Amino acid sequence: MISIAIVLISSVSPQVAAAERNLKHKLYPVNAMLDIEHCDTLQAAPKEELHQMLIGFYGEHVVPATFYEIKETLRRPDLVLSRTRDGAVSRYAVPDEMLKGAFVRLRDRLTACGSSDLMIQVSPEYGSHFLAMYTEPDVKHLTGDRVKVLMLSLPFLLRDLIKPEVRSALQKISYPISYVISYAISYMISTEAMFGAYAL
Amino acid sequence: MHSDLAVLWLQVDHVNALIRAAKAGDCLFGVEEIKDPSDKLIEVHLAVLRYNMQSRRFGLTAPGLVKLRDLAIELLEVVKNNMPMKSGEKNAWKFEKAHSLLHKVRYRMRYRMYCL
Repeated sequence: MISIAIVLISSVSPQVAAAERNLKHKLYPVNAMLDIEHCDTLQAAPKEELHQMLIGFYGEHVVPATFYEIKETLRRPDLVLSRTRDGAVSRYAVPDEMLKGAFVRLRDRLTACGSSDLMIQVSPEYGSHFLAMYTEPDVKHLTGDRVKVLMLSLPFLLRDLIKPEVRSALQKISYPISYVISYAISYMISTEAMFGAYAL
Repeated sequence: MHSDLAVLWLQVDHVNALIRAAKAGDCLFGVEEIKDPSDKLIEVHLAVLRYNMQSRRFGLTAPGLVKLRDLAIELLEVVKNNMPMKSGEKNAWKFEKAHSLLHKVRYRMRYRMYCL
């Protein structure tokens, strides 16, 4: 209603019309949402995608539940190495650093998303904010567009997070040697793919 | 380097190796091994993505609206089955934002956001 009133004012006010002509753009553009036929935009607003789905459901509940599920798996109450005399846990089977490592890995995967191959670009700052938001109690801000980035990427980043899906045949070999061999193989594959792309 | 590898890659294997190595009298002796929950987590996230993509379509016809309603039901079922405790609560998925997924079709019909 306010926008409509403003539009009416701008259409009848010669000063505003003159200023708009001078600036060559509208000073009071019409809100396109108000032009939707048979739609009470204000009444429909709380149920729209941003507040109902992205922030209201996914970012606020599904993502924290995912973190909780991973944490509960690794920190099941019986997964304890030692207890004190009064029964309190003194050593968990999964120490804090190792637990945090799972979420750090998720952050690193997220920040590795690039627009050239995934059509989503995630900055290191966003990755850090994502990790802080879901692991630290005080950080609680993530916009709808940023949650949308999570929705598009998280389904493909959770695999292998705390357990390798495919075991390497090189696992029995000592780590430095297997690392060099796997790096060489991945380099050859990427080089071949690169030349293949040029050949096309 | 070895410890980095263990931190980043092998949480589940690390715990299960400790359980298998535990001797009688150890806290971990006889404890059930843990399983990687990523399959059921990915199932939830994909259900969210499917529902969201369908709900964003313009010009949905009757079959599209029926599909949207079915995806909403499926999403809530998957969420309840795969993440029953949500973030540690009981009856965790009984709240307005989750329930209103089921009413998305009604809102779209009410505000004529579909095609005849």
